[in-house]
Amino acid sequence: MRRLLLGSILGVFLTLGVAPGLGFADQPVDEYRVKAAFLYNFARFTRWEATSKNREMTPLVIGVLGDNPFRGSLRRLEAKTIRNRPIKVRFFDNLHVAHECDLLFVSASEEKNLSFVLDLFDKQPTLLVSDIPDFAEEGGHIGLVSRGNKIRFRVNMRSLKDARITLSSKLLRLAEKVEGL
Amino acid sequence: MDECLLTLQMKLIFDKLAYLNFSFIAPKKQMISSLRQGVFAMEVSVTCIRTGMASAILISALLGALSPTVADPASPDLFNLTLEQLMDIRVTSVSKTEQEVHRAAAAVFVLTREDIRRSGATSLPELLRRVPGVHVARIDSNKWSVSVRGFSGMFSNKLLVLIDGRTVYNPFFGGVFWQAQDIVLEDIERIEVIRGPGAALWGANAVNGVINVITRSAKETQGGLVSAGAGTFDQGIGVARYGWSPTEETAIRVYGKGTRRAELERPDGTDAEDDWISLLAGFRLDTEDVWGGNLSVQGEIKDADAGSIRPIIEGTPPAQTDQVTQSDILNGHLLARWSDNTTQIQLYYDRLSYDEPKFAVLSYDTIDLDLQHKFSLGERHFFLVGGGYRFIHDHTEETETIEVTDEVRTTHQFNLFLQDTITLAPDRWQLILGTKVEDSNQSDVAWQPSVRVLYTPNPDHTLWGAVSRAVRLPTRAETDLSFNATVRNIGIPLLIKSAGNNAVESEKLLAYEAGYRWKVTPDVALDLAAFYHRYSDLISGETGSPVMMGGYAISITAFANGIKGRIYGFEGVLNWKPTARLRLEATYAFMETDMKSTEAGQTGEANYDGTSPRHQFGFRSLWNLTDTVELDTFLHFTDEIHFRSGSVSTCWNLDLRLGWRPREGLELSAIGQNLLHSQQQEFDVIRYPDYPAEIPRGIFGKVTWEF
Repeated sequence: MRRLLLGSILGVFLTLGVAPGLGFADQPVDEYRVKAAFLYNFARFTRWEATSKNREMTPLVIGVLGDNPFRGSLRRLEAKTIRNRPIKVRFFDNLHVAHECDLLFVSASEEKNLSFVLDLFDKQPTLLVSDIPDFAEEGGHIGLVSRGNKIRFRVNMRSLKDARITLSSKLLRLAEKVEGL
Repeated sequence: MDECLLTLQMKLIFDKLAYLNFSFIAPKKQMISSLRQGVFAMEVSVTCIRTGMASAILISALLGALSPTVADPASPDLFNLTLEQLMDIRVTSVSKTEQEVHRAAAAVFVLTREDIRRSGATSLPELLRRVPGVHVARIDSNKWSVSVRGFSGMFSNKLLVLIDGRTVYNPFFGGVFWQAQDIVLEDIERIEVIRGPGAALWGANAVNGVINVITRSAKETQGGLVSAGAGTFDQGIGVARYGWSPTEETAIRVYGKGTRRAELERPDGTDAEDDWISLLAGFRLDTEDVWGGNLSVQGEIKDADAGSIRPIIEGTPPAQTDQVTQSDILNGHLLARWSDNTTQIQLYYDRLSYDEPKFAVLSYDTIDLDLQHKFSLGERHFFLVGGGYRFIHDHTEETETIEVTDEVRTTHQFNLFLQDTITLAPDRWQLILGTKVEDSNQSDVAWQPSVRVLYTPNPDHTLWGAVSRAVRLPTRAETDLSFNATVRNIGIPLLIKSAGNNAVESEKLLAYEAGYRWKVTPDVALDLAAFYHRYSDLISGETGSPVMMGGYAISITAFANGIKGRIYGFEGVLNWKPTARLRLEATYAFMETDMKSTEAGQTGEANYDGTSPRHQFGFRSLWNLTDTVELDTFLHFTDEIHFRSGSVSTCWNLDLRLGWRPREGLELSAIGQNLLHSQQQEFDVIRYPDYPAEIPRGIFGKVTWEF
């Protein structure tokens, strides 16, 4: 039914002489599809201190705290593995369970609770990533920032050290480093 | 973008572990139980992030709180790209505004910066043509009728227009002197248009709609911009702007703009003498960390010289001759706004002087103070309270056209408003109760309450309904000015005058509205709104019997609350992004006007019946042909409109824009305006005999360079 509706709308527009553009080299991409790919790369280039929970074969859990801005693009990561660990994507609205993540994306919807989240994860071995403004400066691990219409990331070395998380030099080379809490 | 968020700052009383069992992300249910157990003390405050809170209470105020999760669109694999490649991808984002509009409990439409840039429009009213349910008719080169849901006219007085929180409604005639409201279109962040009454928040005159223009923060306009355009009709438009940051917290921009527009032709082929020159210069400063909040200071000075042909009445016995007049409009303002997480204080001074010899020589000074505060009470109540004071000192001189009893008038207006957003069922049902009460030394106390209900069964569907009351205060023209309108020959000269009446009361509206929004897919969205507006005490001009004066006669048209009636209709918007390169939008608006005199024998209804089109249709496409070439179209249809003097026939029209961005910061565009007719009249005379011109086809080219 929906397809039929779309089809007929398309038909109308086509008869009006407006054909959808074709050829997609370098077209803009939805920001959260790109950010999902960033998260995947962060997970690939991060070493967590060895604990029982990050052994081979146990799932590497990527979590989203709050509203899910990725739509379905993050879920598609579950087809992949990182260092023989299958990826599991989970969505949380409860911090208690969010602690099970290896990487936690703090959604912009949680900006209001940011200091609380950061307090709670202080020195915990969970890599915290967010696009909330000044996330890395405020004590988060990796902050995604926009430059023009491209994405950059900033890391807070001190909080990473506190959390005993090591980022590979490949990642650090591309990062902007910030002083921070 | 202003986004109001509810901040829940929780203070730990017992140990940290207690928090871990506590879900604060969806706080509503569990928080209540936790509170009952006495586990927490909570400090609740409201945070407004981002600078430029001009519209903090605009769309966001009509929102419900939701957490949208949307189904996945099929997508190619970006996971195989390297970080370097990812960092090179250009991204687009769904704006907060889009999300807000989807969840608003009112008929809201937003023109974004991208819409504005790609419209090719060269003035504010022309931009507004793209908004569903707004009727824009160009009267001549420098005059427009802009109205929402009926009551079109040059002084269409039931619409409130705000630019960065500053009203540009003119207290003499109502409506807006659009020729004095030139603006740097490149610096507009967005234009929010609310159809239907917004009086509970914005107060008097927000009867049929509110148009809110929000300019960009100075932080967003760093660096330089130079733009030059020329065309057949918009003969020359030049813009220069420069923005810099003297300190890390502060950003400033200064700008100037000059516009010159050609004169048009009247339907009888004669010159309309309506050429128009406008110059403006201004600045905006935004700074963070001032007394714990953000401070924005902006100022602007504008000078517009616009021509007209007016029927000037002189002599005894009175004789009417059409004369070319030149109006010189000077408008300046200075505005300061401070805001932090919960509070906003805004103060501005605005002066407008309008000098058109033989027609109108007037000025008004406005000082306006506005306060807003937001807070939560418990988990279910979110309050927005505010108050304001406005001082208007106006002055008008006698001219051949206007007679005054008091040259000077001082108005003190006070208002208070309160709005409570009540969460009935978290994420599903919200009830928004609000009222504004206004009082002034020129009118009675006006209560303007509204009740809105918002139902969001899931993030893709929004249903809303509203009942609201709004009033329009009588203008000076309706209360204490007299106009010499025209002279007719009935054997002897008959002078027709309109006379203000101090006894006229405010016009009232009771509006019933409902709407539905549906995100059909991530790329298709539908927005429908229906309304039933019941008006009473509409102000009409009631023509009296001629009185012999010796050699000539006078007939006085006195203002009275002589009309009541209803307007009902609906508006629809369908948005579709078939590909990332193409966006399509179809809009349709239908309305039916039914006005009648409150007493037999009165004649006023013809003022209102039929001046707005029953059907309006718009179709827009924004198409990226390649990465650097854009083709944009706007096709629109306006139904026939009727006047006492005749009617203006149905009109299809088309605007085209071809844009080329050969490199970052440089844009060239070619714009075709009104392409379907060589020239076409869009409006006619209502009360005052102004002469409409025919609006021609035009070509406009523009170069914009940002550095």
